Amino acid sequence: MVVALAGGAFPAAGQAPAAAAYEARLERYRSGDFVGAIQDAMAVPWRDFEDQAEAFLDRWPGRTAREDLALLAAALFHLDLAGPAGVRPEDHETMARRFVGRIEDDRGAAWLRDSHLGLLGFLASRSRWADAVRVAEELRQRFGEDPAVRLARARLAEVLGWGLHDERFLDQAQFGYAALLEEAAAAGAASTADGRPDPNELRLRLAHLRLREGNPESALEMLAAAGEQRSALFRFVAGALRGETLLWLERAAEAEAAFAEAHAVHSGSISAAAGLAVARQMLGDPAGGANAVRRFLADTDGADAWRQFLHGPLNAETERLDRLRSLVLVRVR
Amino acid sequence: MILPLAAAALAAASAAQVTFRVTAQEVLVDAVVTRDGRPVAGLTSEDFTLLDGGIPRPVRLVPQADLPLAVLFLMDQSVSVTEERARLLFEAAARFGAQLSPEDRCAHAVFAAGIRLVRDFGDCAALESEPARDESILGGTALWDALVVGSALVEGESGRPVLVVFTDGQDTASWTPEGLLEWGLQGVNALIYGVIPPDARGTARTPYRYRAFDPSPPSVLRRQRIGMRRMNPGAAPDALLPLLEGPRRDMRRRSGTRLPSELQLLRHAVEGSGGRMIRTRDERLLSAAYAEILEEMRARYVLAFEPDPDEASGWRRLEVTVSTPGAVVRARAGYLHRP
Repeated sequence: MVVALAGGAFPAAGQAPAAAAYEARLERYRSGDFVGAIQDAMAVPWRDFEDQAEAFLDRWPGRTAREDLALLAAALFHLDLAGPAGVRPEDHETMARRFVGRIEDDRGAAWLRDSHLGLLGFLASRSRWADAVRVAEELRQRFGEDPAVRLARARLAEVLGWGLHDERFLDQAQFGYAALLEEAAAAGAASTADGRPDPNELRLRLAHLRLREGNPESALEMLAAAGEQRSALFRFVAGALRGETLLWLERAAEAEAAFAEAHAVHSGSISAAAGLAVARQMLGDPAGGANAVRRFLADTDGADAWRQFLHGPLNAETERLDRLRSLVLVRVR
Repeated sequence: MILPLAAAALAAASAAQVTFRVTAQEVLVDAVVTRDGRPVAGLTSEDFTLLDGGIPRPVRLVPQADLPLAVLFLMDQSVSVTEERARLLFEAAARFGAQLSPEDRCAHAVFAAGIRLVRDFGDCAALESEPARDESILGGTALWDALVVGSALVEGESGRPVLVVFTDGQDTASWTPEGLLEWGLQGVNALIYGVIPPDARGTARTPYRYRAFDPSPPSVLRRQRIGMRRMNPGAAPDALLPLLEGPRRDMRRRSGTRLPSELQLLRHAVEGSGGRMIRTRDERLLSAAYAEILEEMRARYVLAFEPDPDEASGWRRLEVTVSTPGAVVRARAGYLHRP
């Protein structure tokens, strides 16, 4: 396949074949044949591939927009090898950073952040938690103050804390969300552009974490501050959280009403149906409890809306990689 | 159990319209009495002493014939359960059901990451003996979700609710927080039995003393029980710890949050209901475990007493003893009083 790839200065004579080999693979990648390019690269011994990448890197000083896109393409190529392909993740991530690092204008930093956030999302979506944490730490060291990075790290901590029952991660998540909410409130920002956190979502997450740490009164205050929810998912989460919180405050009738709201939004989610059944049993309505779980059994597709709340936003970071890939695609001649 | 039925129900109960000879205010307590491991027969109500929150209550014995059963078999079908084990379990449940009376009603549900009702409540003699593995629910073990669903289903039936749970390991996929499960089971009247195979995981840890079933726990106890009882610093592998780098708040230490295993929590739920955990020594003895439960069900006494309607609502501890020397009584730990 021939693609219109930007040219650059030729490397030293000894490096030419290596750089050309790398460029051919990159052309394939930029043509949209991501899988073919990755499989092709995986067939090359790492040392040889590394040499080819080095030779290619030497050709691209990164001084023009066209060169920048080639460097970004190479970085994405390596991140795809590190993430989806799972080949020598640390080596390929390092190589990716070297390519993007060659870009001199501000776009380089933005692309580096976005590509790594995307990789973090991908790794989380595949439950490759150790790799995800490594990428999150890389992000912290380079972009520690960036709201999108802090939000992604807090989300990762929340997911890990919930899954592992390790309170240290839940504490970390709560700390991160609380700081982001404070900043958002101070700035009066409600925008979610560029990963900036939605204060409404932050309040729901803080309510969840305060409940888990054993502070239902504070959780209820946070839910009240969040107010009416517009999205179905958030209405579900707010109802389920309010229900569980009220149950712990021994306000079973109010808990039943809150769980019923969540159950009405996602009747196929066990998290709401279970809470509703428990509340109704405590109120002496076992038939009502049975009705709730029967409806769950009829409507469930195996996915719980809580999973979407906990994992969805982190997994959605993967879209950043998709957007960057679309930038580097070149038209087939 | 406070039954939502009129007092002095009809004597001629039918399977279609089950009625009990108990009053609407009565609480039922299943009591298994053994001496040297063998059931003690022939006891009368005068032999029993029942303390309701420490207060003695008069009891009467309810004939088992007046209390048809509603039995739900809840079976773990996660990937760790072999086809042979699933077959043995279904056979055992079918054999169990075949020995119940026409008035009893049985259902069958399987769970893995999800839960599915294989057969809704109906004729116990018609339980399937052949397992049908459902690929749509595979992927983990949602034991807590299954327990909530199972207990709600069986509680919703007329009849004495019985839940027989088989599982071989740890909960890995539930969305129901453990604390909610424990809290919820306080409002359940079902008699729960747990059957675990010889290779069940999570049984080797130090015994954990639960504080659930405390009547109206003070807030400090409640705080330790919110949602995730097993909250535990140190559960994460080292590779995940870098996420804790950077700005953070000081860690707060929480007391009383030792890490129990899932099977210990299951045992707690089972024993709190008055049931029993049975660990089979051999895979082929799964059927014998079910037969043991059936035998115990038949040998049990059902006590009925009326709580004081003036007592405040909430969970109340029960203690049941008998006058027979050397006899041991197993009964539910308490009940949720709803005057």
